[in-house]
Amino acid sequence: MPQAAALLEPLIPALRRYAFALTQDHAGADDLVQDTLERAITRWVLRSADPDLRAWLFAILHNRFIDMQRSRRRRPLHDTLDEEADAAAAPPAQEGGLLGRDMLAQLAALSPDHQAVLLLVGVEGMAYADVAQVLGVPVGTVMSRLSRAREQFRRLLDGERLPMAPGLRRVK
Amino acid sequence: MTDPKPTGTPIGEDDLQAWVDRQLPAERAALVRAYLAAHPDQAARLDRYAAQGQGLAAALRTKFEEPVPGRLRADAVLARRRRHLSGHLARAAAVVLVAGLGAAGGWIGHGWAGRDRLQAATASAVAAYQTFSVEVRHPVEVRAEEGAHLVQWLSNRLALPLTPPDLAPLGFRLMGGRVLPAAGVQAGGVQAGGVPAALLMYDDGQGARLTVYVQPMGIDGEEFRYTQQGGVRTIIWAERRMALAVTGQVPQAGLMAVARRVRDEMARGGAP
Repeated sequence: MPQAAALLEPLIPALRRYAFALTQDHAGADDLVQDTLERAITRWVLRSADPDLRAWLFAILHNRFIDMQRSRRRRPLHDTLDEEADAAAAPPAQEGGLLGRDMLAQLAALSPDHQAVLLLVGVEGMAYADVAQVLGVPVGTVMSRLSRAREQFRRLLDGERLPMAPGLRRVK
Repeated sequence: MTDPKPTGTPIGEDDLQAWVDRQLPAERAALVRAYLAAHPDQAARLDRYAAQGQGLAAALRTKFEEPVPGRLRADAVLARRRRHLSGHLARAAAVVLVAGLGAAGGWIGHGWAGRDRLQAATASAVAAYQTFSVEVRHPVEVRAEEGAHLVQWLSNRLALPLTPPDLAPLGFRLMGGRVLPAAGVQAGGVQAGGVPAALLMYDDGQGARLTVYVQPMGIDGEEFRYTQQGGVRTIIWAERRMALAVTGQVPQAGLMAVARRVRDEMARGGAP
């Protein structure tokens, strides 16, 4: 499969970026990308010829991430007390506070579904139809999620607290 | 936002989001531009959203530009996979399909009778795929989770030792299996029926399914034959007195890989 390597290689930096944004863990993100590439190569011959390779790869990565999240959900992600303490300690983002750290910290407070649309649209610059393919939902759902995700992200960056605990939110 | 809206459709939130992402058709973009000129509060909100996206991209730029670690090179992943597969092949214990043991008699051999019966088996395999691969609630009779029971049940019904092939290296997971009535086809004056057939179903976790159809019959030594009806592709062959067919809506090369894997494992399993 020499052509597989040539086609996959240029997409690896973007896969690493997406995986890192979702996990916010350097080693964990690269594990996720490695897993994605292994699955992609395994399924290479079974890939339908037409769909966009990038969307196909991101879909594999996204599904793996969701699977991992589910298996991890048995344990609570954060201790409630820690979360309260973090919120008290972290000063709300200031007007000019669009610093990378703040952005990523607040991103992590969104549900995985909302993180995904913000990243795929805003960072990866994907067409809505491709985002729909990655997430396995209709384009209309992508649009409504995008609207909600952007508004919630804005509120977080403005220092507002969202009503629900992170990681527990499931938005259709 | 690829569907053009009729002129006169009021500006919606979806238009505004698509404006941020420059995914609006030109005509619609002109309408939104005019709307935003008249509604500075909305324009400010959208500017804010655009800035959020740019901020995220900036926060992740270092990650994007970071040198790719060696283990994530596509070549490295391919090489590891080759090593893994050869390890797989070395494990002769991973016998998957064993058939024809003690099944003396009923030998028809090569020739037209065998070909006709293979054709009938192809039709049965395709019909079984079309009937059961679309089943949401009951795609299989016995699920893969009941591993030992599944093996014993199929082997008893088919009167030959049958263990489902492991297609995991190709990304397909066994869902389970079911027993089907034998193809009651007269071919070359020989009743082809009698012993039922088995249908094993696999899925790739993303909605694609394929089936492995196994029908005991007294023919052997038929090479791969490929047929296609609509999007449904089948590769059928015969060996060890069984017709075997793999069927699915996957590309031809992919189906060929599945057929080879099923046949290879059989060949190892059936070696004396």
